[in-house]
Amino acid sequence: MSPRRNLPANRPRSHRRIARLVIGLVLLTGAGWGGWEWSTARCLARARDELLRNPLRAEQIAAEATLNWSFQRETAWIVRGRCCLLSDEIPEAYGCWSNAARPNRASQDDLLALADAALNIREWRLAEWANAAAERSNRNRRIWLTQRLMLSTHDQKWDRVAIEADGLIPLAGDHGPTWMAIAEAHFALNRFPLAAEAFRRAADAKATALSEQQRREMTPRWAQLLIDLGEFDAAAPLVASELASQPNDAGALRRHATVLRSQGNTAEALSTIEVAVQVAPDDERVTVLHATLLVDSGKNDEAAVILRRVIERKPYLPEPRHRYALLLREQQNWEAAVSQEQEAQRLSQLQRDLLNAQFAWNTERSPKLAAEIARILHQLGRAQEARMWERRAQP
Amino acid sequence: MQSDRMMRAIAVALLAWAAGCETHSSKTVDRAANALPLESSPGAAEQPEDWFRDVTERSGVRFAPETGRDAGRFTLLETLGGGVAAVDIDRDGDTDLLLAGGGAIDSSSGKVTGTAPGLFLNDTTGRFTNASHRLVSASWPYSHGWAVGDYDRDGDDDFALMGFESTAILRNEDGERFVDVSSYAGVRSRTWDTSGVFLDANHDGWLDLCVAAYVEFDPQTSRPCPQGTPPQPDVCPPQRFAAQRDHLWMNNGDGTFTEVTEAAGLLPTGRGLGVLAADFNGDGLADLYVANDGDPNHLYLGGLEFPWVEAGIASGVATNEAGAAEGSMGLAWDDFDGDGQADLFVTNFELEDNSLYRGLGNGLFQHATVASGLAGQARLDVRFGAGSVDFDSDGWPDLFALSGHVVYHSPRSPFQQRPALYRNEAGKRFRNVSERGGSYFRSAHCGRGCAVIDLDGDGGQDLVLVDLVDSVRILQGTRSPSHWLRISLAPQGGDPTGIGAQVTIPTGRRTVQWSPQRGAGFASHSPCEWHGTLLTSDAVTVTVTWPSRQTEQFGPLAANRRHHLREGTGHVATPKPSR
Repeated sequence: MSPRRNLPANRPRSHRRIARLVIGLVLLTGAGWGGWEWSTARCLARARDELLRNPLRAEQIAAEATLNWSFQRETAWIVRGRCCLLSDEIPEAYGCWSNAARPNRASQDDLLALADAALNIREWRLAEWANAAAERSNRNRRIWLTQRLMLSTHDQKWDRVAIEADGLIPLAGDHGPTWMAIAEAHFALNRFPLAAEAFRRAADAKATALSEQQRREMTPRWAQLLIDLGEFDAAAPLVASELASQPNDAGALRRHATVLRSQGNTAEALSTIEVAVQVAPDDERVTVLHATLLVDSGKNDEAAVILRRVIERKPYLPEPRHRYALLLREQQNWEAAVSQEQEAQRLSQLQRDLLNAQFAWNTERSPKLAAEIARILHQLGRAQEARMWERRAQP
Repeated sequence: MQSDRMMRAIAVALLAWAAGCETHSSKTVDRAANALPLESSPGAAEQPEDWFRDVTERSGVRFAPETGRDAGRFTLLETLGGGVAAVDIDRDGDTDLLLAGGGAIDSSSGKVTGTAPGLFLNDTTGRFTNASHRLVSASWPYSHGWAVGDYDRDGDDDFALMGFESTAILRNEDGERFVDVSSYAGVRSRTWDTSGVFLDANHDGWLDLCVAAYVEFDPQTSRPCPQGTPPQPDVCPPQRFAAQRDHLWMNNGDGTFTEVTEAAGLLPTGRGLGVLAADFNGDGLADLYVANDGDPNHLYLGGLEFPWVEAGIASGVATNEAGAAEGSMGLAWDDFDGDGQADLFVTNFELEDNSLYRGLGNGLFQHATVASGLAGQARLDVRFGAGSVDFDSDGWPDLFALSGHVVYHSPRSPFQQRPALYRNEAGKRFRNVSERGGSYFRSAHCGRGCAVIDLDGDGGQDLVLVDLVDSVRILQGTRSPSHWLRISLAPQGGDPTGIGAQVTIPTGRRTVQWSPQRGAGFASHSPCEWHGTLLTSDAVTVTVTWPSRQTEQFGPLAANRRHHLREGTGHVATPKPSR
C-alpha cells in the first residue's frame, strides 16, 4: 500500500490547487514580465526611431551610454521611464525613475550625472526629476545650481532664472559649463551684453573646460549674438572656427558673409554666401542675404529673381518684399514697388504684433492671447501654425 | 571624560565657525572676481590730442533742465528731455543759447508744470551771461524742443517752444525781451509736442510752423510698467500709447497762425520725435521729414499747394535696410559721401543701427548704414541728438550721436551711455573715434538735444549738449582749421530760411555741395549756415542756385569770415538746368 493512499481525502485536491496556483502565479509573472519587457522593447524601439530622426543622435547615444554607466542595474527602469515619457505617461515615468534611483541605490553624484546626461539629450523632465532628487549639498552645489538654472531657463521661469543666474556667478569660477548656463540664462532674459561676456568666460574656462560637444553647440550662438550686437570683429574668429570644423555649415557661412559685408568686403561675402546657397537653397535667411549682396555688387537682375522666388515660397516675410520693392523702384516700376512695399509694411506690423503677443504669452498663457496669436498668424497666411494656436485658445 | 567631550565639542564648533568664515570670505572674493562689467568706466582726463575740451565751467553756462523724475512716478514724459537753440538772439554777431527748461511732475497727483527756459547771452568769446529774465510768459509748458525763425518778418529771430500739451510762441522784441504771444498767435496745441521747425509750407514768404507730436499720454493716470528681472517699476514703452498727429500751423502774415494739419495731409500715424526741413527732392521747395518712434518715418514732399505727398517709403527713408520701422529720434543732413547729393542720418533705439540714407537724387535714397561702416556701431545704445560737422578739419563732415536710455532698468544697457564720434574717411566709411573725442566722449551720459556752432569765433566747431539728468555741457572743438568759411543765405522769394537753395563751394580739396536744412540734432536748432574748412587762405567764389532757380556767383569771398549772401546781389551765372 502506498503511503499516498493514507493521505487525507482532501490532500491531493489542495496539492493540486497549490500547484495550479503556483503555476498560475509563475505564468502571470512571466506574462507580466514579458509584457513589460515587450512594451519596454517597443518603447525603446520608438525611442531609437526618435534618435535616428534627431540630429543630435551621436550625442544622445553617448548620453545613453552615460546613463547605462551610472545606472547599470537600473537601466531598465530608466528606459521604461523614458518610454513612459514618450507616451506622455508622466506619472509613470516619475515612478520608474524613483525605482531606478532609490536612495540606497543612487548617490547624489549618480543623480547629478543622470541629470547631466538627461540635459544633454534634452530630456527635461528626467533632468528636472534627477536634479530635484539629488539633495543640495555644498560639495556639488555648483553643479546642482547649474542644472537648476538650465531647467529654469528651459521652463521660462524668468524670475527664478534671474535670481539663479545672478546667484551662480560668484560660484562659477573657472567652470565652463556653468558660465555657459549663465550665458544662456542671460540671453533668455535679453541681457545680451552679459550673455556675450558669459559666453566668453565659458569659452576661456580652463579648470573645467567645455566639452567638444558643448563648444560646438555654443560657438554658433555666441557668434550670432555678437553679430546681433554689432560686434563684427569679435564675431569673426568664432565664425572662422565654426567654418574650420564645419566648412559647409550654412549658418556659419551666412554669419561669415554678414561679417565680411560689415567690413566692406562685398566680393568675398558674395562668394561665401554662394557656397551657403548651395548647401541650404531653401533657407530664406541665406537667400535674402544672397540677394542683398548681389544688389551690393550691382547684380540687380539676379537679385530680383531670387527675391521673387523667396516671396513666392514665403509670402508672409516682409524683408524680401521690401528689398524687391527697392529693386522695382530702381527700375522706376513705381506702382509695383509701392504695392510690394505696402504689403511689406503690413506684414512687418503683423510680425511686430506677433512678437509682442508671443512675448506676452511667456507670462500670461490665456486662451484670449492664444486666440490673438492665431488671428495674427492667419493674417500672415500661416494657417497651419494658426490652427495649433486655435486649439490652445479653446478653454 | 566629560571634559574631553566638551573640549572636542568646542574644537568642532571652532572648526565649523572657522570653516564658515573661510567660506564666507572666499565667496566675497569670488563675487568680485566674477562680476560682469555693467557700467561704462568713467571718462579719463583730457588728453592733448582730444578733439573736444569741456569748457562748461569757463563758459558760465549753468543750466540743468528739470524732468520730474524725482517724483518717482516713472512717466514717459520724464524720459524725453529737451533741446537747445543756438542763435544770435541780440544780433551782436555771436551765437547765444536758449535751453528748454523741462518741467516738474507732482509726485501724488501727477500734475505737470513747466519750468522756465534758460537764455544765455554770448560775449563773443564764448563766455555767457544768464539773461533768462528776458523770457516772459505767464505759464511755461513742460518743454522739449525749439524752433527758430523770423515769423513776423521784423528782422530778428522768433521762437517756438514745443512741450507737453502746449507750444509757446515767443516773439523777439528787438533782442531785449522775448514774450510768450501764443494766445494772440492762436497756437493752441493740446498734443504732446516734441520738436518743430519753421518753414514756408505754402510759399507765401511767411514762415509756418510744423510740429511733431508724440503720443496720447496722461501723466495723472499713468502707472509704471515693470522692467527687468526681478521686475522693478519703470517707464512704459511708447507703444502702449496711441500716436498723435503732427501739426502744421499756417502763418496768416499778421502775427497769427491757423492750423492746416488736415489740409496739408499730415498723417495721424507716427509717434513724432524729430523734425527736419530740407529740400529732399531737389525741386527748390522745402520738404519735411518726421522721425517717428517705432513707426515708419514720414517724408512730406512740399508742393506748390496742399496736400503734401507723404513719400517716406517710396523715397526709401521710412525704414531700415530690412524694411522694419525703427525708434527714430535725432537727425543730421549733409553730403557725407561727397557725391553732390545730401544724405540723411537718423539715430535710433537700442538694438537698431543708426540709419544713413544716401541721397541718389530726385528724392530717392538708399539705406547705406552697412556700406558706410556704421552697422553695429553703438547698437546697444539709445541714441538721441546727432550732428554733422567737419570736426577734424579734413574737409569731410564727421558725425556724432548722443545716447542715454529711456528706461531705468533695461536688461541690455545702462541708463547712462557713452556718446559716439565717427570720423568720415574721405566719404568712403566712418570710423569710430569716440576715444579721441575728449573726456565727455569717454564717459557715460544721458544725452538728448544738441547744437553745433562756433561759440568762440575761432573757426572751429563747438558743441552744446543737453543732458536728461545732468547740466548742459559746452565742448570746445580743438582742431580748428587754419582757413574756414561761413555762409548763410537770404533768398528773395521762396523759403526765407534758404531751404531749397543749392550752394557749390570750392574748398581747395574738393567742391562741396551744400543744401540748407533746419531741425538737425534733436529738439534743437543750430544756425542755418555752411561752416567748413578751406585748404588755403585764398578767397573762393561760391555759386548759389536759389529756390527761385536763379543761379548767381558770389566772390571772391575772403576766408576766415562769415558771409551772408543775398539773392540778387551776386553775379548772375549761366542758368543751371532745372532738376
